[in-house]
Amino acid sequence: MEHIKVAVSETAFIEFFNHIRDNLQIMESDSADLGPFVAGYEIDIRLKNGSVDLRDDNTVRIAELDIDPVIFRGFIGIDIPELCIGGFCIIPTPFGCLLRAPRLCIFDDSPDIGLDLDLAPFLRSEVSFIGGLRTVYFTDPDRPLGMDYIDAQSAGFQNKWQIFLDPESVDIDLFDFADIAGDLLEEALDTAIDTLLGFLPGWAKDLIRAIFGPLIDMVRAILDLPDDIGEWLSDVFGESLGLLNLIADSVITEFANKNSLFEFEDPFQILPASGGLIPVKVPISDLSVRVTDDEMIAKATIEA
Amino acid sequence: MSLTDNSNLFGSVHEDGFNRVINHVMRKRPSLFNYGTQWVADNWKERLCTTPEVAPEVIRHNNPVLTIEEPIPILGSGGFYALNFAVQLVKFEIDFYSGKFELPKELRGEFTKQSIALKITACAGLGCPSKEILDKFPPAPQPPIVLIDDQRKDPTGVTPIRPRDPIALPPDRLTCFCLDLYAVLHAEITGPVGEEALEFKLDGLEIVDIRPEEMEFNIECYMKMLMHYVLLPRLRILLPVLVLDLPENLGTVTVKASTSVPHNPAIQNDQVEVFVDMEVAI
Repeated sequence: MEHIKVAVSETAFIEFFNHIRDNLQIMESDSADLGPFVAGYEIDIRLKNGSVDLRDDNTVRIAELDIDPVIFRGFIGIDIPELCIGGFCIIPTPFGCLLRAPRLCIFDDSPDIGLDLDLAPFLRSEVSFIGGLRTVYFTDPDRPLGMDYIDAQSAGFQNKWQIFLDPESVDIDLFDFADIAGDLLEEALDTAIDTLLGFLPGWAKDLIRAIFGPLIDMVRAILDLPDDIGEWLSDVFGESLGLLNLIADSVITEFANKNSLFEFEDPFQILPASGGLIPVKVPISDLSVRVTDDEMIAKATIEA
Repeated sequence: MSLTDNSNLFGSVHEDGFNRVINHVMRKRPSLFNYGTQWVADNWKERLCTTPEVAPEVIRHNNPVLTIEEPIPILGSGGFYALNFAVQLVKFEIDFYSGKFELPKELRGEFTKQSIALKITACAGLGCPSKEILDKFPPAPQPPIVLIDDQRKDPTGVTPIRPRDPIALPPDRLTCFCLDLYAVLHAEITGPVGEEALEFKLDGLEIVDIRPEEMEFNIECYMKMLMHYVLLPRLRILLPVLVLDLPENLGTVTVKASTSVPHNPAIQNDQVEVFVDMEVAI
């Protein structure tokens, strides 16, 4: 027979959800040197809309929660190895070269091309999530044999009851991210290369293109990008963006497995240690969590 | 009907669970429930009126089984002698309305809705020394009663003795008795808004089977005064208003007792029920 009952109303869940949604702000920025290019990002993501619903099938559903990137900016700096043409001898003489072709070097900056991708307007996406609640009794495998619960508490090896969110389905609609990002990247590359070669006279541009072919192809080769960047991004993120769901699923599963929503030690402390007296702790068993249309109810038994 | 129809959060503890908690406290903090002299403590398993059930970890961690008290002085002995004793609370049970205790008839009318009944078994014993001990520890020298005007310089021949710690006369054992005591209480919320406290009020108390009735009345009166003036005022619980910080500077969650229910806590259905409201703020 359960002795303890704790219930949380759906109203409380909704109030809590709305508060988190309205106030959560994910701000991150980072950059890394990846050899031939450097990459960085800056994000500021908020949440909008969405709803939370307790369901009689023992699950919690978060529906159509909009992920709203206020800032979602990526930066790629490409450092292309320096290329020089000309400078060869046109009229050689026994005393040296009398006339040389003009020598022209490109890609001598670092980085040579800087691409600033503002993806925020295109990344608005929507998340729906259904999860059940699961209870786990955790025993620390590192706890030495024979150690009693009082010493285990002092040493941080106490047993715990934990409640986890068990994802049953995760759905992320990310609107045409790959195509949009691919187009942006391609356009930015063309613009950057044109700008890079802008100082050259038309004949020189033609000469370079004749010698090296379209520079976009070269940059793609350096970056190991295929012809269709959009398709490449799509492949990277998975067929029809399935990988995104898979990643999200994995991340949430990982999160759910490693981070309990709530936990408490067993036995549970009623009176703290005081003046050399041991703490009074009460063993708790049969912790269970049930979700109904109206509330979430946790029950437990106090052991004799 | 949902548990949270009247509040955001609901919590309840059934009386059986409460009694298990009390039992844990009695076994793991035995010194709160057993009192006696050093003589009793030296061999508590043999000398206490009832051998208490003590959790092994209490012994393993060298915790005391009883709280040591001074022996009871023999009045008029000049502080020379005292008696060993022990007082124990050997059983403590709680019963929330609707109730399962077989209450004494004097209390049945008191046990109404929202009431709490307590059943306490207490034992006490006094160590009465044997004749051999009395011979071994003679009375402190007292001046004899001088019947006529004696002309001797010091007719009593008694030398005053310096005061010292009283000797607790060692008995063979304690002579014990046990009493069953029933009490009926109810809980009240008192104090101004924002500083409400939960207080327990004594509605009735009855000790079972003591004769003569006048002695029972006197002991019950003393016990009532003890609960009214000593025990229950110490059980005044300030209703907590908990403010919990959310991570990532997301604000705070404030939980406090709901005021929209007629009884909070409610003593009903053999359990104590608590109704709590929640506010989330930045």
